Amino acid sequence: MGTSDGETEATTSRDRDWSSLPTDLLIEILRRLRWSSHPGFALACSRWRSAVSPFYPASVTPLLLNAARVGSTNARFYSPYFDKSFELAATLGAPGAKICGAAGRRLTLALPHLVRNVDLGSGIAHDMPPVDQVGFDFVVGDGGDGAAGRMVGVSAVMFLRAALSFRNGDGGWTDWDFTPYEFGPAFVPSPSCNPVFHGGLLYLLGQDGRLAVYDQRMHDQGFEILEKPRSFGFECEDSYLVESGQDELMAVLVGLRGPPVNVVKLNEHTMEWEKVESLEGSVLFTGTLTTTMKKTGARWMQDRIFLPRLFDWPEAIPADLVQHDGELAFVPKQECAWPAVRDDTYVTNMWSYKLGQSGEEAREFWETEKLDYGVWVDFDST
Amino acid sequence: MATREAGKKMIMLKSPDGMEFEVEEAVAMESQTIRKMIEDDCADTAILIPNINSKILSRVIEYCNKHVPTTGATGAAASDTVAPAALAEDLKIWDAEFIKVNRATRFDLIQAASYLNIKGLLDLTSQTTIDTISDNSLEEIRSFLSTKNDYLPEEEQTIRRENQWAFQ
Repeated sequence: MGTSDGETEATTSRDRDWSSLPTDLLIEILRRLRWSSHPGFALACSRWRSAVSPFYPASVTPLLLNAARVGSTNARFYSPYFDKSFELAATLGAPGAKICGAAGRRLTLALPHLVRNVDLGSGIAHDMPPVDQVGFDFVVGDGGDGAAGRMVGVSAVMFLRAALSFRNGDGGWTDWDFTPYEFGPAFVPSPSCNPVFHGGLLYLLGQDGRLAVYDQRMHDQGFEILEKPRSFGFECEDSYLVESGQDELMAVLVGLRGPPVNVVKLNEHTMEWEKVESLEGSVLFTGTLTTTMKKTGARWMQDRIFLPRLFDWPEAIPADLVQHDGELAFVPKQECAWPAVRDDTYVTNMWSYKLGQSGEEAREFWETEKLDYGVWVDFDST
Repeated sequence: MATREAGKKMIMLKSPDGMEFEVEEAVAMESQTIRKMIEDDCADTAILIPNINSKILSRVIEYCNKHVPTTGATGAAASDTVAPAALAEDLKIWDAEFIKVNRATRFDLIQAASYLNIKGLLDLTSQTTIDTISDNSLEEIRSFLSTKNDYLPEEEQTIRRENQWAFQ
């Protein structure tokens, strides 16, 4: 066995220039390198840069997954960071399905009497046990792998009812366990917002700012409608619930024509919604059943709230979703240039609202097109 | 091709520095390049392996010897009798020891694996290289690759800005 010998190493490696390797071999080596390390290699020398085709990393920000008709139209991912829409050759493979939500890269689809989970990275789908009753109004998973994984289906229109399913040891799911029927006081859920896991409990947002909570340890009691909070304290047209990066429960309140957008967080001592003045460098992606909040290094995105509305329809780039060392990127099928330079004043085609901006500066929804049937997905594994 | 059944047919491999290595045909055929030569009957006596010196060639043969699927007396592959998982684990440990070489040797092994088209060895050498340097700084990467920075400052700046997501 040869061993590493400091002296030999210094004298013998000097004459071996890795950039002299044939391009095929450079490609073969770089194929194993995670995407986020590629730019560092590209900077090492131009030969290494030329060995890698342009790609768009999938994990810079969450992406809006959009399939006008699930199962018959190809899946498209819009990136607000690159302002590009990437179209995969495949559909989501479930004709007639409805997008229920997403946790990270895991997408939940509802088919008649069936809930399906799809890993968007690998394309692997798992079907949940069949549901006898009429389908759920909301289905959410905690995204956990292995034994911790759980899904809750919620019926909310006629009466509040939850159904719980766990991942069992062999990778399957336990049968849905329903809470009893309960004809309690009226609770009108915010229609386009999934319930959210927070501190082990599941919170369902009411249109008026109230909250209903389901605790799986007290499964038979079903949902409890909390005494407080009683209102948001702000007028709004749409409201979306999210757990912040600091483990706080937040709601995003959007006006009829967009501005003003307010963000409130739940003070868990007083149980009142309190106005949030700054997202402290984070960015909110909302307006779909799933809302997600992320830290971002892109200054132009900080403190902004993005909604699935576009001023201009972006070009759709046919691409493959390629995994390198656990990271995903879109690799365009046709030859293309490297992504354009982003600077700190860049603003994308997607409608966004900078928290705290004055009413006059904020653009309204006029001239935007809403992307229906979409959901924010997040390929960032960290 | 005619003597394939014998299983022990020997092949002579020659390095450019004049060394000769007698190896079993099955071992030599771990290399897709050599396999093709043998199958095309271009390998009557000895095969000259250009560009690969005897030191590296002997290491490559060592690798192929270990990785060739061994055939027992009954003709059944050894992997049928030994638990495949245990065998794979054993090979992994052996590979990890095998690749503990200096950078220059690894560089030569990558080139040899590529020329001889030995998939397992190419996987091993490439992956080890990536594992070694993927977390390093730019200067460390350049120094490892013995590569000169051939960018103008403006070009370097453009690449940084195009890939701002990675440098934030």
